[in-house]
Amino acid sequence: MEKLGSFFSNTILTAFLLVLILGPVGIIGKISGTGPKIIRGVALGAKLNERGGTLSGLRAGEIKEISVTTFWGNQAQYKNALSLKNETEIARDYRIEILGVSGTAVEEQKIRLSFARNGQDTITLQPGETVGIDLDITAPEKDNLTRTQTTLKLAIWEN
Amino acid sequence: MISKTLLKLIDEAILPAVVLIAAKITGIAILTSYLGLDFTLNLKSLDAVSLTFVNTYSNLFSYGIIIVGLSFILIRAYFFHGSHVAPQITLRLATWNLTTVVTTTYELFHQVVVWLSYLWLLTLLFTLQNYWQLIAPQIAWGSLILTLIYTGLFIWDAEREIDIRRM
Repeated sequence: MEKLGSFFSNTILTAFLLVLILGPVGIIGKISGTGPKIIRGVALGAKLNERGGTLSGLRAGEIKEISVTTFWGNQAQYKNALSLKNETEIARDYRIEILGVSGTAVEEQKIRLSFARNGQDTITLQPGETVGIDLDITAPEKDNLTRTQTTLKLAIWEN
Repeated sequence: MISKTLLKLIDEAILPAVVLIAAKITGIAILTSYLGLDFTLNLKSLDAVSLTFVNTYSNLFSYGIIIVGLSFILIRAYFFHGSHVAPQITLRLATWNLTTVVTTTYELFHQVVVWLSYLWLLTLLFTLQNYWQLIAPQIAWGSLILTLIYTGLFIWDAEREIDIRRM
């Protein structure tokens, strides 16, 4: 009987010790997160066909092509991929529009352009004001694709 | 009869458990404040760059705290171990009234086993997190190398202790 009692007490103590050692590491793992994470908010460079570099000014009525990388299985966000400045002397409303997309499996990609300040595709800028333009590309996971080049034709219209 | 070894291990495991969690939370608090983010214990809610940054450095801080604790224990094992402490050191400690620094094999080995267990578990966690791209790979590899070194140092001291007992 004494041996049985001893066995149970030591088993409970062992379990407690395991919890005491594994618990904190498990808590750290839980806080840090487990499992793969979809990449969000990673600022990457956008290559511009006409000028190159990561930031290029757009003008109203201008049609521009930019080439970016699509990361399959991830959501890539290009912050301030482009910029727009109101070079007039009065406040103006602007709208950004994607005219065309070319690349691999573009119909499966979700592409969104928005002004960095308000997250919308329209904005009002005061004279001399500049705003960045963000580009989001979400592409589902594909076995045979990791990253491909996607070209966007886009335009800024003045309202 | 309740195992004294188990009781001793549980006793030694409480401090590193508390220190580890406190270090992680403190690391997150400092780093989120530095990045201008709200404090959160759900790091997966952050964007990828912030997640990797906060995860990497808060994990590094937690790991560093365990390394510091284990270093202290191993220094005691090498220089203030009762079974082979140098007479000059004992004399110096007695002069300074610090003879409590000298410790027994029983104490030391239980402490080392517990702290080394935490170190290995953290290394395993970092390896998994590196695979999931939640931390920088240098942390995973660095922690593995450092853990192996500390394990080697412990084994070396254990072997020396076994040789002493054989004499």
